[in-house]
Amino acid sequence: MRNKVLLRIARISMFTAVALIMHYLENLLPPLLAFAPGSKMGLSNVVTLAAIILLGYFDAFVILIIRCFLASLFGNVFGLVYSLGGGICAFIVMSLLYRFTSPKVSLIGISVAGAVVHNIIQTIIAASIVQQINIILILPLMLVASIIAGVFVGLVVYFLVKNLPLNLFTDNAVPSSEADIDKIFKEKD
Amino acid sequence: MDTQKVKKIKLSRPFALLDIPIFALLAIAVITFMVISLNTKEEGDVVRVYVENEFYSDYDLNENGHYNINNNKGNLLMVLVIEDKVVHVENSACPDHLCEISDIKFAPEQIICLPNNVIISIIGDSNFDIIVG
Repeated sequence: MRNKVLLRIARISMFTAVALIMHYLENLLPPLLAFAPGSKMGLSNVVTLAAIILLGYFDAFVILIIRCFLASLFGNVFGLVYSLGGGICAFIVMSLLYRFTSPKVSLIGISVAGAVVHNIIQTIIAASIVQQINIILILPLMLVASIIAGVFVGLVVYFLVKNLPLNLFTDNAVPSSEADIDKIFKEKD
Repeated sequence: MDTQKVKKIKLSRPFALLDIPIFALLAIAVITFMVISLNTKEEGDVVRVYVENEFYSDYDLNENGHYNINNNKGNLLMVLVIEDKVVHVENSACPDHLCEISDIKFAPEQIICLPNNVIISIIGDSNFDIIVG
């Protein structure tokens, strides 16, 4: 029992750490579309979607919330309302699609839907903060950007899920030796 | 984790059949929005600036010039530059400088600086500028 809780905490922390690094790296990259300033790859979405699949909905939600708050601490606090609003809505859409339509809808489809919802919600939040409806004129650009980003993120998650050993996430025995760790990676699913 | 589902995904291809409706819906949305935003483009003469949701000032688009935009505490937020009927922003006091990337020349295009809450828009004849709230 204690092992189970410990491993769960360890997995959540590991995913959160990766999400934060992704978030940081993404800010160093140029915008996804040169003529749409602010368009991003949404790399931390890789972690959210992978967590939904590999850890479960609740843990993925926890990771998302922690990531948003920590990222706003390290970056600008101003972005918190955008990333939380967009992130939570994208999380809900991706969870529902994964729960009810996967594998008929592929991971790429799910992540594109998530990216689109993320962008639409962020645009709506921006429009309501600056109180200008004209801001939605940028939506077609943002939608194109989110399709590119969504396909990329979906592909990354697909290859992650395909290649990571499932035992890494289902086995609740704490490995006590290096031989145990080797076993996790060698066992076929 | 739904092990059965994950195992199915492991065996599946990257794309699936039901992705088609998602992408089709998106294509329709993008085309509709593009048509809307292209049709609303027109020549304008006035550059209108809002700071923190309040009207700040109007400038003539046909007149070249550099104008300072300050907030109500008197701090310089950015410099608005009008040059040959094209508007852009320099020296913005924001962390990411995204607003300095774009140029605008037609109504109802806008430069929006979210950190400073500054909106610079070109106003056309049909007065498309709807202010909400």
